Amino acid sequence: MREFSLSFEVRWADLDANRHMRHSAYNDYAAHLRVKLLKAINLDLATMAELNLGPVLFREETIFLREMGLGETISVDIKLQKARRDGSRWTFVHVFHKENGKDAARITVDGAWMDLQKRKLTALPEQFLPGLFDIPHTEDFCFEDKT
Amino acid sequence: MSLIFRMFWLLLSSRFKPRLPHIKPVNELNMMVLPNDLDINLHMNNGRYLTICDLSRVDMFPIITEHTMKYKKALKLFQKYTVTMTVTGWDERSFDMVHTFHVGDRVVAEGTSKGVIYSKKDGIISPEQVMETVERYLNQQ
Repeated sequence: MREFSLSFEVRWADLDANRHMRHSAYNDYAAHLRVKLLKAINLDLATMAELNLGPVLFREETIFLREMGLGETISVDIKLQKARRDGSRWTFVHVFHKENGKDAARITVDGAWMDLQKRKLTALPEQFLPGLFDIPHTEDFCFEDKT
Repeated sequence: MSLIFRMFWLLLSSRFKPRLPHIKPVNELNMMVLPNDLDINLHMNNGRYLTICDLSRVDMFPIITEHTMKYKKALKLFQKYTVTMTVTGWDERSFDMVHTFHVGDRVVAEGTSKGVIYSKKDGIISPEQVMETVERYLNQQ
């Protein structure tokens, strides 16, 4: 996979009282992009439900660089920054770009997989590992060892 | 702000609460997880924590330039929790805030954010200037 990105238009419902995109809307679009990405590697909601598997986040860091206004077209791309070899933990970086190509925000999330029946963290089933590692990597991508 | 009803309730109920102190202000809200806060894992969606942080900052209305959340324990449907927002300090440009989600004594999520106060006329107003204005206003009252 060479690149995975999503374009969208800033909607009325995304705005806050300052008439720019509210900060939590960035995180909602990032979550939407992650769900689309998982679908692209054959991990759609139906498959996750079948496997009793769900993604959970431990940390979410958002840095806002430029504001975005109503009707602006934004593109967001996603890259894998860190992962355990069994796919059980991962870090994704999302970068929001304005129409003029300038970066508008950067979101980094650390997460894992949860067994929804046991409510415990679990590894990613092996058949999805090639798809996970095929996701575009950041320049500083590394495999993380268990600590 | 997408939690319109909760925001109106907050604005209404805040009229009956004492004013926040301008030195080390701490805002505390008691909330409950509602069905529209859940995601497919049946716990509160991560984006919702950030929106709740917005609610706890409604008195200031800053423009957020950075926000980091750490999620420790999941919040489940109808679980009651308390969220506190503390202004811990500022530099020449932005205010630093700490957000903590508690269930009883247990911290379930915590985060930090930076925000600036912006005026259309003057651009970003330094925190020092904001604090001086607040102090002057309080003294006049």
